[in-house]
Amino acid sequence: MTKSNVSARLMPRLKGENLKLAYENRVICEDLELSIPEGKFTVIVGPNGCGKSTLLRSLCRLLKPSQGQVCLDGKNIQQMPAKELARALGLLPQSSQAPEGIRVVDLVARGRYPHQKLFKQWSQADQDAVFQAMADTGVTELAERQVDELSGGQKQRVWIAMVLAQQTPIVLLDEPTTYLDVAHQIDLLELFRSLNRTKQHTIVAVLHDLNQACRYADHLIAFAGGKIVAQGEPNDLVDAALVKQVFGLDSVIIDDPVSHTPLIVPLGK
Amino acid sequence: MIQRRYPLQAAGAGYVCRLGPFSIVYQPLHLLVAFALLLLVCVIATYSMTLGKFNLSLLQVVDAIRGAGEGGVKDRIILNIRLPKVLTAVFVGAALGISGAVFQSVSRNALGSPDVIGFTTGAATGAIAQIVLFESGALEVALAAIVGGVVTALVVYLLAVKAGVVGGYRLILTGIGIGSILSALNGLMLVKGNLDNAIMANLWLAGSLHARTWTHVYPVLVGVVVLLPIMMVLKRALAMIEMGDDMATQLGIRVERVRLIMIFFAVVLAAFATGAAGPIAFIALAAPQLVSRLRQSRAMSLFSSALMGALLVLAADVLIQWLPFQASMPIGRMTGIVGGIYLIWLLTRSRQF
Repeated sequence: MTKSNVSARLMPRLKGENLKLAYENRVICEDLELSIPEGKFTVIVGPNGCGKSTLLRSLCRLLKPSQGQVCLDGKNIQQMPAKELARALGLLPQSSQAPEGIRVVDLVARGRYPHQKLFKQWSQADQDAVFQAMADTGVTELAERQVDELSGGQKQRVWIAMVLAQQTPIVLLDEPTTYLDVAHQIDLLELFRSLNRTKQHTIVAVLHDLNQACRYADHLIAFAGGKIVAQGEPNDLVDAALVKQVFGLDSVIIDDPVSHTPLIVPLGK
Repeated sequence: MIQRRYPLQAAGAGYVCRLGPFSIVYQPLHLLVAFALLLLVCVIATYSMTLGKFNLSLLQVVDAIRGAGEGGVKDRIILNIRLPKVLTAVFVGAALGISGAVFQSVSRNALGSPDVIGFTTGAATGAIAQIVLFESGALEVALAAIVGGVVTALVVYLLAVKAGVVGGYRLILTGIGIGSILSALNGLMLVKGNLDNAIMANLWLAGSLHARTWTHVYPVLVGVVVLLPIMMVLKRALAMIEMGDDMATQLGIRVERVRLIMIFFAVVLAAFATGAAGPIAFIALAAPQLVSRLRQSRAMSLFSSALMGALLVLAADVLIQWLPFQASMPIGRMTGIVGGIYLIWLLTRSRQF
């Protein structure tokens, strides 16, 4: 039995059932069914404003569905104790503010909050998790620097280290590569892939760049107009018709000479 | 057992104190600051009790408090006049310091303090209304100040809240708006009220530690003693919210609940303080800022801010008593002058504005 067959048989832990998501009176989607494959790197793509970040936020209780529910292991996450959920599910939000003057190691240590109690503020497990997370993201050398002084790429790694220190089996990333140059984008995507492969994290990311999504995703979810237009392995999924349908863009799809995944070449008007 | 928190070299890493399954993280510098402030508060409080029309010696003060005094007028002056006054100063300062620390954390802004965002003005509105319209006594005025402060906070909160979330800037701007409306209203009541009452109200508005009795001390004392421990428990969660609502929520914090409870307690403390001594300016603004400079850390501290607030009010009171020619100045004006200078200094060197 091959490895992919084994992982295909893992039950998805995180599921959205009959989801209706809305901000006040603007409805993002209705009757949505979603399941996140276990142990895989899932990427959600879609046009601007289609609500892909909203979808991700609903998966970790930042947005309460107007109807339906998001379940973790069959339990409605809205009814789980907040800290218990935070030990199972981590999220890197689109924007976070580092407290003024905080050092890298102290910020990463804050990821341990859901594992701590009022009088159990720092255990050996906390320390191990923090240093492991810094090693995994390559920020150990920066440990004693102030977060304010770091470059955009370094900062993003520190935030990722913080979420990893939380030691959640599932990690959600909301546009983690935005505002970074292309080298740092690839750098982070390689990091996510290696975390997925070596640490068996289930990773779900919202990405803008379709080519990057095709290259790194095990499972691609194309989201547009409040519906999941298509989902599956990028190689089986992405063709010119899908790109037209999701983004309204005419394109030619060629084989990526490096990764042998679909590479989208846009046509002009 | 005490050990360093991280296996790192640099200072500031903090220490962990372990006892069986329990562990607490602390910073030696933070403990030192708190201890030094506590010592200073005790010393200045005792010293300020020797000041006044009757000069009393330090020994007489200490003896009277210990209950080992010689009895008579001096003891009664100390126990019935000076001790309530000093305790009012200490707990009013503490309440304002705590309140300021919470507001600065919630608004992520050094200007977020209950007097800037109108809550103290609201408390004053309650008190002035009571004095001018109903001609009531000290206790009713104190109660009206508390009600005024809490109601103002409620109105500001309801106006600032948007989809269940209070943004820092929205809170400050809404507060400033409501504050200026109320301050106009206060002025109107002073002009329209009868002259005697208006003078009374004006005296109250100046903020005073004069003629404080045990009825002034108890509400604010109980408020601080009861609320501070609860707030210190919630402090860790509030510190996480400084990283943004999304991040705090994903760490397992009920963001809106924690924020609401902390704001409510901070408002209650500010209102109690205003009820006890009238509006005393700038303590809430300055105390947390001074503490973070002493501790060389921006992290919020409720306990040290409380002590710093107490110290500032006590110091202002001693300063007034040192003024030549028995020039008696209301304490609220003194803190206003000193605080205003401090605020300008803060603004000229702040990177936030």
